[in-house]
Amino acid sequence: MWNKLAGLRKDDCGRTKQRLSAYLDRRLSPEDQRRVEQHLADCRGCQEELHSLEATVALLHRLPQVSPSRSFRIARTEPSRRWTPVPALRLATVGAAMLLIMAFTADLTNFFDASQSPIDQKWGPSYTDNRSTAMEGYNKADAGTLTPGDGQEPGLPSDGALGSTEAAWVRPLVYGLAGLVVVLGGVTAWLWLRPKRPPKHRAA
Amino acid sequence: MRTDDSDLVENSKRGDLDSFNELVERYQKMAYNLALRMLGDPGAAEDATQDALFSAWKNIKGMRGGNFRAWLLRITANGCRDQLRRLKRRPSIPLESLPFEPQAPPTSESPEDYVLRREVQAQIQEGLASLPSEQRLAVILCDIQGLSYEEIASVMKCSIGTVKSRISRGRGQLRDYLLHTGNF
Repeated sequence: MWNKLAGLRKDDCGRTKQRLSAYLDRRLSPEDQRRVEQHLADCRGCQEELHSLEATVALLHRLPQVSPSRSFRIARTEPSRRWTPVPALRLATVGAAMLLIMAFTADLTNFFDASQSPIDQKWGPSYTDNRSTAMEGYNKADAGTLTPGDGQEPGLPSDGALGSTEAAWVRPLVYGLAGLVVVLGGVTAWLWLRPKRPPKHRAA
Repeated sequence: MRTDDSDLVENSKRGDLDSFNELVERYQKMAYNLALRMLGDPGAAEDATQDALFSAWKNIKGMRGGNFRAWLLRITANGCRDQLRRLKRRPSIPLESLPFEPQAPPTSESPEDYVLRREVQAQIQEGLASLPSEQRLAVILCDIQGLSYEEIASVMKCSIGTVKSRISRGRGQLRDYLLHTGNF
């Protein structure tokens, strides 16, 4: 029976200790307040617990309120008029990327070669038209200058076929645009992501 | 004549910076002290306070409810939590770097008492730093800032019961720390 009573008292101590903080702040219901007071009247251990808790709270209350070394007022400032290259670079990157897509699509769909026959693509569009004229010229001109069988057909334009000229400028265009996009994008991203100075209007 | 917080908040919501700065003047010290006790470092506390006030100015149109103080302290506490998470450490601060008070002791206090008091304050700060962040926040708001349980619940976005529990555990743990370090 004594053991049972001791156990009950221990439970009571545990419950009381849990309530001591709220008891100090007078945040218990009237009934709980009365129970805690009744227990405290008989229990030396819980009284000591209460006193040490009171001392802790008193120390916390005595901590000084520290004044900050400066004011945190928000200053009124005009929006920055300083020119920044980021918007222009962003626009240029977008423009170059769109041109690249257009050029790439046109190249994929043979847009630049659409008007040429397979023969024209090989020899140039002037080959079939000018062949007879060239042959006439061949008959009239010095045969030693225009020699058939030297690897070049008579009448072949000496500056290259038109089809091969197109192929020659389309590729550099695409690669050039791709390079431009990479460079512009890289510069824009670097400018965008680099550490920024704190905004001026934060501090007063 | 002192204008009500609610009027200043309404003006601030309409973009009146002067009204907002009036609120800043009223509560910057409180926000700074919360950050200082949470982080334990004056420089970090200044940064956290500045960020909190700037964030409050940016977001004041979205403020719901009328208690600006609790709202600002919530923003400050969130900033402190983020900073603690980033640093992944408990705040600790050496006694010498505590610029919490003037260097010279007040004339009413002997130098010995002054040193003793400073040491006790440093012990309390270390004890606070040893608490889990939610308990620390609850104890700071209750026992240093003097907020009611209802306001603390509003700052911490939790129930009154949780506030009671956190304060009780925090005080108990701090008391044990101070007992352990021989302050009682």
